[in-house]
Amino acid sequence: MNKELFDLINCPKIVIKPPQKEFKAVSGSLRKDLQLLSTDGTKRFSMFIRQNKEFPDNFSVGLLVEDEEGKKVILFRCNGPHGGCYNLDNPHFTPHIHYLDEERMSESQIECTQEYVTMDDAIVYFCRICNIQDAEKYFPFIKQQMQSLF
Amino acid sequence: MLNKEKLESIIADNFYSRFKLVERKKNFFQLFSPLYHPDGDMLDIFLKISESDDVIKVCDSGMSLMRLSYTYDLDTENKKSILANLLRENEAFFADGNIYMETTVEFLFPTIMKMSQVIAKVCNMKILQRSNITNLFYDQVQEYIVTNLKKYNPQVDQRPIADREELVVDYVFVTRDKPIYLFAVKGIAKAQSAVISILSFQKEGLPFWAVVVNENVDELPKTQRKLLMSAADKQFYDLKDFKKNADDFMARHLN
Repeated sequence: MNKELFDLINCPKIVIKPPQKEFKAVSGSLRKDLQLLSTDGTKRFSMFIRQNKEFPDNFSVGLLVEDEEGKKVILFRCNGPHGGCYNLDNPHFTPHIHYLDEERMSESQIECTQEYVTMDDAIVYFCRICNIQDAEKYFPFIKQQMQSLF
Repeated sequence: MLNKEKLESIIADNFYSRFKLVERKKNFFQLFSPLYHPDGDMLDIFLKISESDDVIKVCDSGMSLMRLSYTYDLDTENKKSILANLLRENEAFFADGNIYMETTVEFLFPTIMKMSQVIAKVCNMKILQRSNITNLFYDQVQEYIVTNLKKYNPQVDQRPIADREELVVDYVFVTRDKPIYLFAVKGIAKAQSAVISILSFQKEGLPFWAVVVNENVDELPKTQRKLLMSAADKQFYDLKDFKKNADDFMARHLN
């Protein structure tokens, strides 16, 4: 991962447009969206959370960056064990993370992960990696998870 | 040495070995196949078999629209209509987010292949994302001007102040009175550039009408909208407004 991508993912962010309290069911999936701003005020991001209603293990929590013209690019995406990825040794049901491949301009760099299993775990992990400063306000289970570690 | 028979055998063996089913629920199978999205995730194709008849439902369980929604919302009737047409053209159906086709054993494989194409097309609908379409904005303004406003002799990319090369006017229409300086504005950067140019020309005492055609003024942040409102003498709300009223505006100012 190059430094620019790393910095974009890891730079501290705050929530400027919070999610709805409850997930919204749209076209067979549950959805939440947040808008984020880097704490230095220079970069706008979006965070999305999606979970398939038929197969709740099919979830995705992702970070998009927006340029000035509104074009959105996915930088980082935490997926559940939905099965089947092109370049993973284990092609079966494994949580995995997608990173942006800047040459291909798609999030096609994939890694298996053991950092999370459930969608809530993925949200906790995501908020930590993406450095969302006030995430506990919108995802109270983050605080509970942190407390359970101590 | 490779030959036709060897290649056919390799392809057939690969296909056979790379297709399999995993039962996710009773009579509901996920298809593992060598069919992938650009990001490396396998296409989400499921087969649902019926206990009462031989119909097989090939579907995506809502995964295509879920994936599309990462970057693109079907939040207007027009976008929903585009999806509906796409599905209709490809003989696919839609219910509560689930895209599906019904088939029998005889046509199962071709239906799976067809479904994979439908999924790819649906997931690629983000190509209709506004930022892609608005890349055409400047082309569309130019096309309109050179076709419909040609009679007013537009001059392209003019620099009214000789030693300020960075201050560019997209189109100048010369009149007997003051020229019209027309700026096509899409996005924050261009809005700021237009404001700087207009204010600089005004500061130099140049006589002109400052006219702006916006890609969509509502999509500019409030700050840029206020600056443009303050600097420009006339703004066209969007391209549609420009096409409807520009000729009349030019006629009133240039004749």
